[in-house]
Amino acid sequence: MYKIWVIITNELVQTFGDRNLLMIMLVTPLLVASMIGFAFSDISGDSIDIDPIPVALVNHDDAVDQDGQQIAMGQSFVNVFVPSEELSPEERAANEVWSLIDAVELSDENEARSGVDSGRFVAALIIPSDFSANISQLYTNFENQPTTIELYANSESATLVEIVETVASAVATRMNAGSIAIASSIGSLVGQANQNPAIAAQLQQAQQNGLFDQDVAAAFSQQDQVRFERQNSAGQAASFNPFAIFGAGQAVFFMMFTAMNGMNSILSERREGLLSRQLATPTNPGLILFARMFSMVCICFVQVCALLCAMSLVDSLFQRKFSWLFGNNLLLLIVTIIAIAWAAAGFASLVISLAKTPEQGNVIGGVIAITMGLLGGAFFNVAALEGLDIVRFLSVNYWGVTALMQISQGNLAVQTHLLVLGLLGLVTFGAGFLLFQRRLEV
Amino acid sequence: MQRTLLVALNELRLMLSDRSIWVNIVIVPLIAAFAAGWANSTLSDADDTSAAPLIDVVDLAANADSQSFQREILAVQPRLQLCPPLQPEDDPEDRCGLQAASLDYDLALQRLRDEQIAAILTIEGDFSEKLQAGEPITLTLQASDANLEVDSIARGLQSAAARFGTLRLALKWNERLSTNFQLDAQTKQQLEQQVVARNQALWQDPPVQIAKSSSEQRLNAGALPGFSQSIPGMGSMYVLFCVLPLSQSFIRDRKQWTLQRLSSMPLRTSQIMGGKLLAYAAIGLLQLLIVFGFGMLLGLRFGSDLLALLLVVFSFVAAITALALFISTLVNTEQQASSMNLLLTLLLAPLGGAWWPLDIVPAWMRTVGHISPIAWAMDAYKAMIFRNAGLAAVWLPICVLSAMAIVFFSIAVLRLRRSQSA
Repeated sequence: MYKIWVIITNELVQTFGDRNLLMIMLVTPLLVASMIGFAFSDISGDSIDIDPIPVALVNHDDAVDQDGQQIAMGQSFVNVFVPSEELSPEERAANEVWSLIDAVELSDENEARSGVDSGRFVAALIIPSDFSANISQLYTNFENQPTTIELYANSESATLVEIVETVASAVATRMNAGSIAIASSIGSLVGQANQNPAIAAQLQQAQQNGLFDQDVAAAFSQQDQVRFERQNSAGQAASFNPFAIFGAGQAVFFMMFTAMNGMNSILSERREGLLSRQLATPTNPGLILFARMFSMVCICFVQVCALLCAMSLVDSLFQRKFSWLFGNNLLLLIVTIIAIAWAAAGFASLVISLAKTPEQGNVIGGVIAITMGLLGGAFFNVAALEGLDIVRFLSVNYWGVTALMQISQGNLAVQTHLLVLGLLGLVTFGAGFLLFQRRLEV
Repeated sequence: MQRTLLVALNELRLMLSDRSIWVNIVIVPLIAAFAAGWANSTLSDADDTSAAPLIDVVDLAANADSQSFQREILAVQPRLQLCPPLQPEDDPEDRCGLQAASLDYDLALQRLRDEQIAAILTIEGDFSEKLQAGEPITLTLQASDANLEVDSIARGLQSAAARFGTLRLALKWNERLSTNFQLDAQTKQQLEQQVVARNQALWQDPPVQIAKSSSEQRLNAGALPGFSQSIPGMGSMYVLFCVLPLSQSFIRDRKQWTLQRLSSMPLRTSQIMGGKLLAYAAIGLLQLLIVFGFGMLLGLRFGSDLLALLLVVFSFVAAITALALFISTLVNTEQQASSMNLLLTLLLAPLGGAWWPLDIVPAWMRTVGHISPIAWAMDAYKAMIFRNAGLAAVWLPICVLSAMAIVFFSIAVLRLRRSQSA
């Protein structure tokens, strides 16, 4: 027991006394997670707060005259994107589309296209000349002649193009909703009137009395009756906090490196003859491995705790109010971090028992840590990828980060996560222990 | 010059004889570039290859209106799997996995927490009453905060709500007109069926459509869109990983007296250092060649101006090599150099847009990001990849990168001279 204690304290003193190591363990992941947090800090919940996206609009549409009334659907489309010059900056800022998109109406299509090609505009929306004529067919003759607005874009800014496409599609859906509502109700009635003269007469009378005017106006001004409220799994209003999500991901990602590098020092000690001297005392090799693993659990625990605290601090400074990102159940949080550290140290034990030299250990450990980070969703959501959604279950990062995220959302049902992490640590340490002993006997 | 080249070749031979370097400059960068590119491509084009998200629908209304609404959701987002399915044939593979269990909120919540489903949609019991009364209806969509895919699900649901609203409006008018025209029950029913059928048909091929066209597709035919970010991004980042250790090598040589022993040979210190710099620069170029070559195999094209590409690559590698030399003058031990290298790599890569495009980050971060040489290199690569830009368009990044190389190199040489004279 005394020997274990000595090995553990030695390891801890060495680690926490090394400023360079502390920089790798704490400062680097904190900076990376903060950077990711700041990069995505403008996205929260279902709102996006980014610089207005430069878009060109070219309206070739020829307005059509219907019963003495001008129908200019192209201009209506343009008006959604381009604010009137008479509006105040406050009125412009309050409009969702105008705050997202900085649209300019151009008369020259070539100028718009070359603007996109040169990067001046993210996209150009080009409205065809028969836009109004085609749409009006739907509620004059009730014939559908689909018309297409071209979204000319360059994938260089794929995310911004996606935002422009979403907004343009939403405006198109609104236009479609009005036209389709009119066409499907009145169009069906006209269909009946063609078969029944009595209905035809009533319809003509109704048209002359302006019975449909109100409906036509309502069709284009209707708001969606059904709306959606986003909530998280704890039933609270959804909030995308990049500092919590990426902070947890990066903390576990870098902890894997710490565990791999820390355990790898056994191989260096073997090369330098330190391990042989320890074994000659005499000390059981399994005992040495266990003591090193235990000290690694302590080091990883401190690293993750420090990073979670630091991420909360960064978020508090960013929000200008104190916020603790990782839930209210501190005891469960501590148990979860210990389980993550245990599993990581288990994997590291297995790696050093497989590697022959410290260099090999470095390479194998690095590859495993990066692969687990990728599979565990440290950089992107693997769950959405067919095929990889199963493999992620083998990753310490997946179980660790999802457990931390659940706790941060107030969802305390992480028993499965703790059990899997515990088993992963036990199995990998067990395998590492056997292989390590065999290697020393050889 | 010949002696400098000899030192460089010797250094290269030593580095490349270590098999682990091939893992570091081939396997790891290619896995990272492929995984990041594939993930970005798949997530941005979710219709094709990603797993269809499962949504548990807790339908407390359980009537014709709520089911009609669910049908509208499936019409707008056919890749969604609603659980339980409206018809058994809607889920032939039993992806919902509910077996005979009836779905209630508690079970759905458990499935959400166990990550069996992507989200829960709760339709309240008064759905039909509010629908008839024309009152606003708020449905709850519950998902994990960490699930970024839920954004696109929510957008699809809102489109379904718009379509559903259109149908409701058309049916409401139909009801009013039928009453006004005093139609008999049979005609009224026929009319209602026609409205529903016409509405569905029109939404299949709506009158106003948005069609995306791209100038870039002509240049990069065949490459997944994510690779145009991940290949130059990961390539640039791994240049830092393999060139910055130059600083460790310098310190190691000083500590192990290798540099001092070499000084006794008929070689000038500048020749020894120049050789080492050349060797590490060559490794950086090799790194870019491997990753960019892999990208080209995947269909990515770096424009048609080879001279511009070579100038960007050379100026970038020169800037990073000079940075490594500069770092070696700031630190005293190998461990310090190692920590500094890791810190700088993981700081300059995301800051410079190697992990994500800089146009999605806040404006201040985009400006700050250009202290990183990677940002300038990425500006040039993207201009060449997406806009087929030539030398005339990428001269600024080349000049900035060259200036960085000159500044880092000059300061490093001055510091080295000062330390030698001290």
